[in-house]
Amino acid sequence: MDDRSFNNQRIHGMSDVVFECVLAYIHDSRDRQSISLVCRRLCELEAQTRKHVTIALCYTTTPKQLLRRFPFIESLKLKGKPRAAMYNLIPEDWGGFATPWVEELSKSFSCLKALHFRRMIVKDEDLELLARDRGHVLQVLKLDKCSGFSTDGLLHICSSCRNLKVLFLEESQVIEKDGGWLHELAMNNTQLEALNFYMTDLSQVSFNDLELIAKRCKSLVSVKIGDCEILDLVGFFRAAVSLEEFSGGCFNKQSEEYASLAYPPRLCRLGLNYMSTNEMPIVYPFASRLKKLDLLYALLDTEDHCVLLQRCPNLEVLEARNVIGDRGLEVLARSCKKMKRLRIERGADEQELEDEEGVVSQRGLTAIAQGCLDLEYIAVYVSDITNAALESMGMNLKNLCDFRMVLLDKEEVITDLPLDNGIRSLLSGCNKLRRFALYLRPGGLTDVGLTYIGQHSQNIRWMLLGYLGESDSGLLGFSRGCPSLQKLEVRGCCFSEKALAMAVLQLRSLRYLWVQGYRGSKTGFDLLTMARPFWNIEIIPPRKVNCGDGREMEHPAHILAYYSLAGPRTDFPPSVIPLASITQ
Amino acid sequence: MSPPNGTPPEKSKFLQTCNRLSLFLKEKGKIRDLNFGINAKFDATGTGLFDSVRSLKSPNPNSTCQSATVDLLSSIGEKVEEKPVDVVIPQYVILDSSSCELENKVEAKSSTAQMTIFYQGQVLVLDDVPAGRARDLMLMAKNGVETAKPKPPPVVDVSRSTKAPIKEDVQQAKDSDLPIARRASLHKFLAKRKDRASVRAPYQSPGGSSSGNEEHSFDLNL
Repeated sequence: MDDRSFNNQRIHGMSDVVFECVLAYIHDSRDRQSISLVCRRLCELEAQTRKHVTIALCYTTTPKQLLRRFPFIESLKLKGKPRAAMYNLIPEDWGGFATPWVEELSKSFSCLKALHFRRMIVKDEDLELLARDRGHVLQVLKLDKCSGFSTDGLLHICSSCRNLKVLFLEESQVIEKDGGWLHELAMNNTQLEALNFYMTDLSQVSFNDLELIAKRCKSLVSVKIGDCEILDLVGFFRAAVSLEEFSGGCFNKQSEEYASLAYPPRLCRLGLNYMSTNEMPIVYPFASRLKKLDLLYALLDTEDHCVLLQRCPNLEVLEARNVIGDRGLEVLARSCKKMKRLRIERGADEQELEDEEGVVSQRGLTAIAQGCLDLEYIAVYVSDITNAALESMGMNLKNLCDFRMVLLDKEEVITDLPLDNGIRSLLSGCNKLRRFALYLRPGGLTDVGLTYIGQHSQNIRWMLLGYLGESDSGLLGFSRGCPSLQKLEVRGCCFSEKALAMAVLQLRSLRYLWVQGYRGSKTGFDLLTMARPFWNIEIIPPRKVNCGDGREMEHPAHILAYYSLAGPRTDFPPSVIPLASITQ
Repeated sequence: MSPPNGTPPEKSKFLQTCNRLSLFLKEKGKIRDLNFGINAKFDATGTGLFDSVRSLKSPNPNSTCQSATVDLLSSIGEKVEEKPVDVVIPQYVILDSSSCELENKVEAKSSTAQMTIFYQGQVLVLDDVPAGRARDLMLMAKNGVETAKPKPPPVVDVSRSTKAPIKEDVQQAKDSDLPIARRASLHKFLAKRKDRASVRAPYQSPGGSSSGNEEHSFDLNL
């Protein structure tokens, strides 16, 4: 990169110092991309002032290419495995190795302070290298749903990174050898603001270390831990005076013992695991302060949800299982007018394990649509649905950016299918939608409905289509629209290889495609219709997977296709097979 | 090696077609035009489709990949003279009349590669396929399509031609085993909850009693 000090060039009559100043205020990556296309000098300036880069798939480029383009980044987010990995659909050894990135980052990226790996394979050696070469400057390390490392790697990080503000390990699969890493963190760090090992199996951590961290780190704002008895955390809660967010822990003792527990005064984001009806009252003293509530891993029934939510008028984010029921959603709609994000996950399938009222249907959705007008994100597993409920959402939820709905397969008969008209109303009403997922069943959406989706999704960038449409013509109709669609996931649909390939060619913004379940062609070569330069096509062949209980499940083949500047992968495991890619 | 037991009828038809066409080709003694209708640049000197596949390390014979390695080739005929290719960048193969010289141009290098065949939604992975045999197979497959039905128009109007079989496939999709996948974190929690409920109250209905009144505590810090 050329030095900036001597060349006081002019761009369109203005000194580039002007542009440097202006660029400092422009953060959106799309705006910066546009700027970088104006002229070479602006491209250079923009590259020199770029602070953060997100690489949506680590195989789309190489570390060296990143270095050439953006040498001064302070923050990098890298994603590896397809999103389906979060549903146990992708082989563990699929790829997404952090090693080549860590090597280059440690060597050449002198300004890097924040690193976020999501769904990648990270090794202890990578963490050791990072700690050694970047330990003194690293402020943020997020190993988000990663695997491949142990607490030894964490030990290196915690010993060397004394300026670490954020250590995030949520849902990573960590091999646990001991709790020494947390002790090192407690001894060495006074800057910590956020600590997260939620949903990991790290259990050998000492609550004394947690307490020490709370005492020494005055800025500690967010702590999310694994299963640690809540009563052991009394000292921790007393010390963590700045704490605003807490999740994790569990309740193993008699309910009465929890009654006198005191929580930090600013606590407003909460997730208490294994909390049941009798322990719920401990939340009441500060329920009115709560902005975020995570009940995904609580042991509450529908009535409990109703009682609790009534006390949370300031709630903005709620995550719960569908045990909340339509009745709980009605209470939410009445009581929580500030709701922004709502996620209703699927509970246990066996009826005895969840409340019999624990189903969500058009009744609850309609209530939400009419009551929570500020809603920006909704993800919901429903047992029944109607077009009217979707129309209501389209009419009322004008701020909705992210809509995800899955129709569960328990009920044989659904009240009102197909959902063509409802989906059309939803999409044309919610014109800020950026992300959209619809997972139904055969008969849930016709080819006409699928074409509607294409026609009414101007701004949508990511879509998941599950069991939609009736035939290839639906997909082809769909792909004539969706002008902004960058990432498409398709599961369980009946489309042929040829139609998929042609759809890819028609979707003008598409840069990433994932498909599981499709109709193979007679020759097997129809997929190659979409072959073109820089477009990698990979297959994960059908395989048998052990799903516990000694059962084996047949997983159908996947197609993964994406644009890449790096050519085909060089690190394929046996479970992934490339189709040829054409390079120029 | 004979095909695995329970080979579906479509597979054996495919095998028969391969056999027949291989014999036909050998009689004719000529490589014919093979056009996949791909809109892209080709390099006529490579046999790239399979090179890229070959560039993988050879698969673990004990891999969990369900498709068995089926040797379709032993019944096809004598081995074609092996013409290995050492190509770094994957390229597409185009087989037209000019590529009769293909086999002369190509130097002797490592001989066999892995081949992957997609057929009716199933994938076959074949080890150690020589380049010449791979070419033969491609030709057989192409010619099989041509003899079976007229060449489809460049823009396929799929709705009209495939309406009938679609209904069957939709039916298949209903029966096919692609259950709604559960998020890993919830899956783990629900399993833990089941264990916890059965340990704490083995004789009560799960979720029935409140968890606070149990006599013994259950330490989840396993």
